[in-house]
Parts: sequence; C-alpha cells; structure tokens
Amino acid sequence: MLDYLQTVIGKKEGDLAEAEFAFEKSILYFDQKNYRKALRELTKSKFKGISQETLYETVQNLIASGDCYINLGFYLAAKNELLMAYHLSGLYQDKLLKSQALLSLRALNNIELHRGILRLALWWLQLHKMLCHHWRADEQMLGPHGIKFDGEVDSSLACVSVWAFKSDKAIFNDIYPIVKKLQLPLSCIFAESLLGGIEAGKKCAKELNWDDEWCKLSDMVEKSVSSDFNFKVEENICNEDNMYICENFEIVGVKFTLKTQNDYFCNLLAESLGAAIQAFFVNGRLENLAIIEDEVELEFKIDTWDWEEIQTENVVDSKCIRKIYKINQKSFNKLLPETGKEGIYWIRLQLLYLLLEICIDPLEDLKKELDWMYKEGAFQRALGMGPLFLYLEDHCKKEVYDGTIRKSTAP
Amino acid sequence: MEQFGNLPLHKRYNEIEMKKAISNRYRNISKAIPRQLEYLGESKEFAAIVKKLRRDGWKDWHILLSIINQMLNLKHFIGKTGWYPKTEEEKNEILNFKEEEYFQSFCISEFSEEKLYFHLKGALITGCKVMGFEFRKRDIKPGKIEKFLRMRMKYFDLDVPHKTYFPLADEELYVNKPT
Repeated sequence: MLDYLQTVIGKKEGDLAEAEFAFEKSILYFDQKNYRKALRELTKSKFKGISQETLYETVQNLIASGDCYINLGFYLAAKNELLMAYHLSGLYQDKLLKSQALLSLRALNNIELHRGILRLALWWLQLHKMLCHHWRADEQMLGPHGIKFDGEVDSSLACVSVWAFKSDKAIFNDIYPIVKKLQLPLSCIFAESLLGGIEAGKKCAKELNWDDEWCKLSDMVEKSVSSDFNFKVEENICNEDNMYICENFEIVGVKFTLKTQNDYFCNLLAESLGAAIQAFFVNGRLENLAIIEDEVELEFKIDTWDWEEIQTENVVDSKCIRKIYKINQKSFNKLLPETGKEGIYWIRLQLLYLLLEICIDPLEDLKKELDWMYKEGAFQRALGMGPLFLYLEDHCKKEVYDGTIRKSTAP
Repeated sequence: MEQFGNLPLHKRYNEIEMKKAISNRYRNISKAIPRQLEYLGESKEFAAIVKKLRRDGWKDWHILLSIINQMLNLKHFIGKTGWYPKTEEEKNEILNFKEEEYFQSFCISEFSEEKLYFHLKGALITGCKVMGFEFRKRDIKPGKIEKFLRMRMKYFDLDVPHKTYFPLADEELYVNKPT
C-alpha cells in the first residue's frame, strides 16, 4: 500500500514539476512571439498538471493559451480557452482567482472586438464592470491590464466607428450613442470628427481634456475622416446575426475560411466546433507537410433535417478547396467533445480527408502526423480540451455564455 | 504572408541525395543526347532562350531535362496521338532513351521557349513523384507545385559544377564580368 502511495505521489509530483517546467518554457516562447511553440508547451503543462489543487495554475494556463490564440488570430479557439478560464476562476471566492476571472473577461471583450461582434464585446465589458463593482475590485485585483483595458476597448471602438461610418451609416448610428455613453476619449474624438469634421474632433478632445494628445492624434484623425480613406476590415465586422459565423484565419500560409450556418443550436456550441478546428490547425505540425493549396473553405450547415448521418459535399472551385458539411441535430450531438469517441473519430477522419487534398505527402506520413497529435494530447485539446469540458459539465450546470443558457446535450 | 515564406525546408529535403541526382542527370542526359545538345549549343536563337530561362531561375539541369523530354515527345508522339508506354519494353525504351547511331538532330524550332516550358512544368510533377510525394487529385496546379519546390525543396537553388552545354548563352556572363 505504502509502495503504491509513494508511486502515485511520486508520479504526481513529477508530473507537476514537468508541468511547471513546460509552463516556464511556454512563457519564453511567448516572449519570442513563437505562439505555436508556446501553445504546445502549454498543452503539455495542462494535461500533466490539472487538478483541483492546481486550479490557479490551470486558469493561468488557459489564459496564456487564449493569449497565444489571440496573437495568432484564432479567435474561436481563444474564446474557448478564456470561457473555461472565466468559469473555473469564478468557482471559488479567492482573490487571486477573481483577478483571473476579470482578466479573462477583458480578453473575451478583446476577442469579440477583433471578431467585430460589438454586442458581445459590450456584453463582456458590462459583465466585467458589474463584477468589479460586486467584488469591489481594487487596482491589485485588476492588475496592470486593468489600466490598459479601457484603452483597448477605446481604440477598437474608434476603429469600428470609422469602419461603420464609411461602410454602413445605420451601424454607425447604432454605435454612436454607445460611444457617447462610454465617454472613451479616442472613440469620442473619432466619432465627432467623422460627423463634424476635424474641428469638431479638436473641440471634443478639448472637452475631454485631451488637448495634449491632440497633436499626436490629429494626423490620424484627419486621414481617417478624409473621403478617400478606405478602412478595410473582414466582412463579418459588426455581424450581429447570431445564426451565421464566419471566421478567417491563416496558418503556414494557408488561408482558412470557416463558415457555420447554425439554425438550431446555441451559438457557443457551434463556435466550439470551430474552435476545435482552429486548435487542430495550430497544434498540428503543418510545417512538416507539403501543402500545395493556399485557400481552404469549410462550411458547416447545422439544422434539424431528419437524416442521421453527416453529409459531406465537395464543391469544385478552382480557387480553393471547399467542403460543406450538412449536420443535423442528432449528428451534431455526436460531434460534441464530451459525448465521446464517435465525434472524435469523425472529425479525425474528416481532417485526414482534408489533409489528403491539400498536401502531397504520402498517406502514411499524414497518418503519422495525426497519430503524433493524438499521442501528444494536442488532438484531444483541439477537440475541446476534453477533461476540462467534463469538469465544467459537472460543476457548472447553468453557464451563461453569450447571453443564452446552455442546455446539457447529454441524453 | 507569402506561402511557405516562413516555413522550414521539408523533411524530405536531402541536399546530398538531391545533388547526387542532379549530377546523374547531367551525366546521363549528356551521354544520351550528345548530338542534339551540340546542335542546340551552336544556335544563337537557342542561346537566347537559355538566357531567358536562366533569368527565370531555371538551372541547366532543368533545361537538359526539358530537352530530352521534348525529344521523347517528338519521337513517340509524331503520328501517335495519345501514345503512352504500355509494355515493359516501351517503358524501358523511355527510361533508356538515347540517340541512335545515325541520329539526325531535331530542328531548333522544336525547342521553342513555349515547348520547353511545357516540359519544365511537367518535370516539376515527375520530380515530386521521384521525391516520394503523391498526387491524389487530377487538377494539379503547377504554379503551386513550383512554389513548394522553390521554397521548401530548394529545387531552383541546387546545382553542381558541370561542363558547358550552351557556350553562346554563357558568353554574356564572361562579357559582363568586371575586368
């Protein structure tokens, strides 16, 4: 018995030491802006060190993973990590964990701004402010990021205002009252300049006591308000249509477009499928493969159609590889990470089919790469970080994600 | 970001093996088609084409491959549309192709830039197959294969010292050399 306990304790301590070492390594990679390597170390760290006693480290790991994904532009995968960080850190009344919860919310806000989903961005912002008030969060709890937070929201909101003014005045008219209400200087100055010209912007800066900043800003404001300035953003900016998700991301020179037409499920579930796909491509060693395509489009159509199997369509397109997956309710349940092996097998197979089309590596090499992912834990992580999802499923029966209550999909 | 721009060389890249293969190509092709090469080497018109191809990044071993492939094409496809080697004998003939004893060189016009380009692109695909890659789709995009070979297999960087096959195309190099 003693021998057994020693083995278990010894192993656990060894695992934790290994996890800590991997986390330290990931920070080094992060500082070098090598986010994919950082993510691989974080994966090792997460699977070795997760337990209730190491909750703070786990949350830290999730936030760090989210940061890596944000820097790579993989926003769905980032959202997945940060949602888990937020929920886990809210489980106990611990000051350190609370600060992590606030940090996660700020990152979630940042993600939605990047995705151009203003409604959700403001929702996270509101939740953050509410919790700050509720917990009487002080500067120590908010940390250095707390000070930066308003600035991040401000600059993003300013960009969104410029885009909306140039592209769709109706959206601008919706945003303007929010800008006025928040009284964040950059977005106010830009919004006033757009409406009343450069002089109106200058006046606004004066009113907000930003005279000193005006000389640094004026050139930028002037450029943005001029009629020939074209503010290029992704097509889904300010997309408030919850039924349709469109994410663009790029990895090893391949541009991926992920579309989800979701008529049935809570959007977060549809997003988690996208997150799994994004995480797969980040965690996979794609640089080992001979990829000869530079554009891939994946489209998931989720509906209540009455067929049981997932239907796959290959659309012939000279520009890029296009695949359409038609999924009904029953099949979608099978794909969810927590429902077990069937979904994992299907996704693994589909990804293999996709790799067979975009790479010229021999089949055996592609299989080896998938096996490597599986052994390293990257595949499980890509498919929704299995153990953590189960943990959440047990502890948080009524999570509020994007304003909707998630219903358990278990039969 | 340009595709492959930040990617490492592919794991199948093996400089020693590839240089050995290039060296073999120079040796085997020059042995197989000496008269045709001599004939082309004396042509100013062909020298201009070689210079243009070199400017585009093609090496002499690519050009030699293209020449021999065009010769194979001329020999087997004249009057035989859709011909491809079926029997072992025919396959061996392709592999061991060489000029016959009383070989009459093909005319320069058969080695136009356009025709050589056709074979240069074709050689990219066969080159990939030799390296162990698999083509599972029918619509292969040569531009993308070229990019992959250029960036990740150094296909356009590798060469070995070799004798001069196109002296007239080389002249410019010497003329422009600083004294």
